[in-house]
Amino acid sequence: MRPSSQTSRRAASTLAFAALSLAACPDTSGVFDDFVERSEPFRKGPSAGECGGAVDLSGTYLQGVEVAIDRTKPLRFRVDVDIDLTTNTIDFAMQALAAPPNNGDIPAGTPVGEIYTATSPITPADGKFVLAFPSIVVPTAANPILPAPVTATLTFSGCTSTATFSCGTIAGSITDPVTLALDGSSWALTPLADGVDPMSITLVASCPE
Amino acid sequence: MPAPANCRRPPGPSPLGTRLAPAIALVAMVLTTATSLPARATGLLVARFGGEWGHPMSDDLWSIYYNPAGLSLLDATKLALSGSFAWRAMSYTRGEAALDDVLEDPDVGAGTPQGAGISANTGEATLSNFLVTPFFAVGSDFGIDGFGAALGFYVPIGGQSIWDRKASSPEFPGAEDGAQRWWTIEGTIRSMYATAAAGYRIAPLRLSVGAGLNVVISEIDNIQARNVDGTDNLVANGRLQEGRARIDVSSVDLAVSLGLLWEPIDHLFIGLSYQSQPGFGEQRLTGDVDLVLGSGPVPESTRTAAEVRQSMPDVLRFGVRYGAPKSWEVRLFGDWARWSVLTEQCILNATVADRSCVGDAPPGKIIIIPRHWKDAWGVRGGGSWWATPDLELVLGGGWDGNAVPDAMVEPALYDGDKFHLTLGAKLTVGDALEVMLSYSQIIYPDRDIAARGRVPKDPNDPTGATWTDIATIGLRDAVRVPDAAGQYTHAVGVVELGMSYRF
Repeated sequence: MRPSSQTSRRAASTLAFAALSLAACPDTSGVFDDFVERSEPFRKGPSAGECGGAVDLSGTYLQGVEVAIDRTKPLRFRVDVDIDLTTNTIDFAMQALAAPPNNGDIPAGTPVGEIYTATSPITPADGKFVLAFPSIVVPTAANPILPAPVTATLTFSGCTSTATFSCGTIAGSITDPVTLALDGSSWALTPLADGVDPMSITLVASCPE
Repeated sequence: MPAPANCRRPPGPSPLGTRLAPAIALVAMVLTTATSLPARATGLLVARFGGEWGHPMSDDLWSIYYNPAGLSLLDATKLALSGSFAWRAMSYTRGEAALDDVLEDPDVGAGTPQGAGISANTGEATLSNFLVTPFFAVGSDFGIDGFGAALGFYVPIGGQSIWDRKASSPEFPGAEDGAQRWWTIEGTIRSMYATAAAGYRIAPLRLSVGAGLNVVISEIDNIQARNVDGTDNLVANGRLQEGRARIDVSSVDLAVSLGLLWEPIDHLFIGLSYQSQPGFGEQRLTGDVDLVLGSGPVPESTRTAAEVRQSMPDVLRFGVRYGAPKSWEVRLFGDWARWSVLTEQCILNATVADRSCVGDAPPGKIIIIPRHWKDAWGVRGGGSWWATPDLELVLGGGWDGNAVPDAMVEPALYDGDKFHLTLGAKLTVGDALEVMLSYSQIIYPDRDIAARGRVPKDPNDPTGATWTDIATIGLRDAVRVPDAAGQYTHAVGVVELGMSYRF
């Protein structure tokens, strides 16, 4: 039989542990993981569009970019596309365009920041290409989502749909000011004629559903 | 049920532990599972260890925090252990007026769709929690007349909450985390103090002086709903918009305390003490933020190295007690906390070299939570009556002010004016042991916070998309957070159980 003093110590110990067990601890990791799992069925990716074959759509375009973190505020870029069907390559040169609400005194539609270029082979059968931009900085004036410059790593996948239209999906992530995945984002091109205000054109930023 | 991953439980008993089980259990509780009481003084100040015996005129080990000058009156080697066992009930009812935008067509624009969307983003959120806060101290006069020094560990700043889950929604996956989820779903913010302090009585002046050095371990562990633009929009163009942000950061800072205790006539004690800010100013807590935002696929890693910048207050305490030993005593004391230093909790990407919380486009900003609290003070009165020389009965009451202006009220770090009433007793067993027990009821008048109102996102499109008006409450877009307007109820009850042993 246990000595009574030892029994009382054990009882006190049990009481202390019992009190602890009643005080629940926050489990923030569990709540986060639970939301990720619960929201998975609601995470619909954008349409990749239909690809018919390699088409020469060289020209100047207004590019709309719809990012998954906020689909109501597409970004605008001016894009020069140069396609060579003899070598089956596409050259892409893009520059951000200032847009409200963070453009300050810079008129909306004004090219801002650097021009970024990428080249990709085109698959002759379906016109598919993949353009990789290791690091793009979108200046504050061209960023409708955050009042801050954003650095991103982007990969545009798409195909040459018609002689005046191309669209596709985006993979990659924002790397500054915060790390955020951009998978599930989309883009599309609309012809931009010389002298036309890019803000006057109805922006398309995804493939037809 | 297994403990959650971040619930740190004491180890099981060992042979040594079996012999010393009660003490080890309590010390382990102090060192490994310190939680925090809900706000009981002003703002996040929760220090009430020692119950009615914890005040800036104390001559016991509780003075290690309230006024280190009181250690000069220890007159022995002593050990003190106590636990505050609190229940807390809170509700927050959010109305439609607090929403950033309400969508007639859920597939067009960003906002909260009418009908089921509004139900998923409003309504009553409730919380019922039980919390334990420990205190441990050991001190001695080392045989030196008029001297005392002590070591202690306790949790004077912080709070913890786990909100009740709601019914799930087939259309909106965030709904079951409750209408308060834009501020917190579950979380902890606390500062634990490890203190070394000493006091000395200058006998000719009848004046004691004291000082303490605190190692302050601060933690923030919180999860909340979050959108990249700081709104409470559930959807954008028919797709999921609502995301989650989990913050897990900590820091170790230093702080100091200073105190005076004057006995101008026998048994009249006047105390004054000062506790510095943890880190003597801005704290920088480091850790991680997990983010999942928008409708895209969840990436393999959601984690970003993060730094949180915040400032906790310094605190001034003062009071007076007078009485006849083992017969009666009256006490009046108060505190003033400089909560106006808590202007923002700024969460930054720690990998951005020039990160900053300043301006309209702070580099490296992840989330900036506006606080803009105000200085607050509280006052307490109480008395003791000895039914027998070994049994002291206490009664106390008081009022503590509110550190959170109406425009900054939200469910995560709630405060309000509060009244409290305490009943208790202290029993002296033999020459060495004192056991104290008290119950305090804290009564918070309800708060009803008016909505900010909505304004067009684009001033040139007055009939277009809206969000709540933060300009009229002095906030810039970089610190936008959803509107926490609505009705708040809050009540707390605390059992303080403690013992002091004289060797």
